[in-house]
Amino acid sequence: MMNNMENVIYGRNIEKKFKKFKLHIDELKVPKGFATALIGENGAGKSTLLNILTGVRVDYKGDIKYFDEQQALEQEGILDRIGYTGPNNFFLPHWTVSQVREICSILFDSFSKEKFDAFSKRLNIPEGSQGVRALSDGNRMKLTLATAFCRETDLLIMDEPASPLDPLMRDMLCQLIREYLSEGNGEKSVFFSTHNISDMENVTDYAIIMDDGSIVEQGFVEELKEKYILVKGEPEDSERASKYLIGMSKGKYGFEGMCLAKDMDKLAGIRVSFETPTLSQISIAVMKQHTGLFQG
Amino acid sequence: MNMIKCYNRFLAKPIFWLINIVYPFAAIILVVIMKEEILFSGLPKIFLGIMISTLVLSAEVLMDHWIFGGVFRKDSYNLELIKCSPKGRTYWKNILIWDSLRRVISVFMIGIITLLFLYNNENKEIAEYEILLYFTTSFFTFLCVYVCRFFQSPLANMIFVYISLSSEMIVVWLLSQIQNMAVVVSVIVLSDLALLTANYITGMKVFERSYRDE
Repeated sequence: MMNNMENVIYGRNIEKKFKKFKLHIDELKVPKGFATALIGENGAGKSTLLNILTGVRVDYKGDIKYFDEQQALEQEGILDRIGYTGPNNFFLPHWTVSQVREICSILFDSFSKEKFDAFSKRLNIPEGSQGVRALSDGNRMKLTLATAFCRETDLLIMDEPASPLDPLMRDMLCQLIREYLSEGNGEKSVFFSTHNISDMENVTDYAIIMDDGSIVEQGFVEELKEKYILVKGEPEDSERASKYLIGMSKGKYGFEGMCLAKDMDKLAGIRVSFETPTLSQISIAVMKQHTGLFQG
Repeated sequence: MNMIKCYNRFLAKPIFWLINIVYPFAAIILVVIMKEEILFSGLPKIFLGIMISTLVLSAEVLMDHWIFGGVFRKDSYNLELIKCSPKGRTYWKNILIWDSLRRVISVFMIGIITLLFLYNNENKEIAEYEILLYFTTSFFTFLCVYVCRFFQSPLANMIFVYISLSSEMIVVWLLSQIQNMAVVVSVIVLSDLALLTANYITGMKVFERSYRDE
């Protein structure tokens, strides 16, 4: 699947240095026509990467192409095809909801006021005269989402869209993403970062896991679920199993950890049970393995 | 992209009405009231000029706070909605330019109307003093707006208004000692232009800086 897929974003040698942090991605592939989740701990470089991809940050090294690896962001019309939502600093705080609507209609050619109104109603965004400053984090995110979804775009890049939303709205967000992808008939793509992996899992097709500025794992969710196996066992076997497990956690009543499917036979003779992991479990195990935290 | 349209949509509706209708008309009505001596009849005319100066400076700073709200602060906003638009740079540029032009128009129009109404047949000395006062007001208004864009708190803005007004009175007195009025006014006008240019350049620099870690 990986070899034949078309990419909506393809990046090589992306580098960005901060004081103590370095983003370094040898190769970034975001498949076209799918929802891709960018997962990683705080400070892993997710927002930095998304800012680079949307042109909000330009001080980086590397080469990034969009839409079938043909076009750079600076080329005419490319930014128009990309919708972006960010968690902070997206609006001036003293703007009102209706001002955001008016400003968007100038900034983006494909912005539809009618669609915006429909989204506002659907997402239950407070009415026009309400100041952005007075909105709750959740409502501000809903407003941000409305500005992106009511445009004609081919790629949506969203930084932590689910975090400030309540469970009901997270479900609505998944629904919106599904509708967006199905409208596109394989031409539209979504790339979002998230810490709420469980909530977003049912809409995630492809996952990229980052740690300390690099991509440490990526693949289609179904492939990752075949690559990793969740292993559970009794406390007395934890010592023997630990050699083959990543992201292992031990408790009074047993242990569990992630094992590579190809290493399963190494666990022969140990009393363990196998389960198909969720994306959330895979992500946590991979992050634990790379951060070196929570060992033992 | 239409500059005025960009700017007007950047304003909240109440601010739009306040800036374009309420504020200029309020200033003119105040001038007329003074002219007809409906109020403040016992005051020397120089105080009326000072009142208009105070109104212009305070109103411009307050309105700027509502429009930009400390936008030059380093830790201010990243303006991401504007930055992720292909037209963002032009849009921001248009806003800054029209804001400066609007300010020039409104400050000088109110000044000219004040002078025409109040000092038509007055003695030359008072009229000159008023002209000097008004041009100095324009300079301190533009300076105060520039400085206040680095501060988000309305209290800080009000403190700068107070400092500006006090300094303005001293500067007017000092400048009134200079005999050649034309030179003084020319220098003030050039300084006004320099301040407005600085305002625009800083605004664009803040915007460009937000794309980088500077």
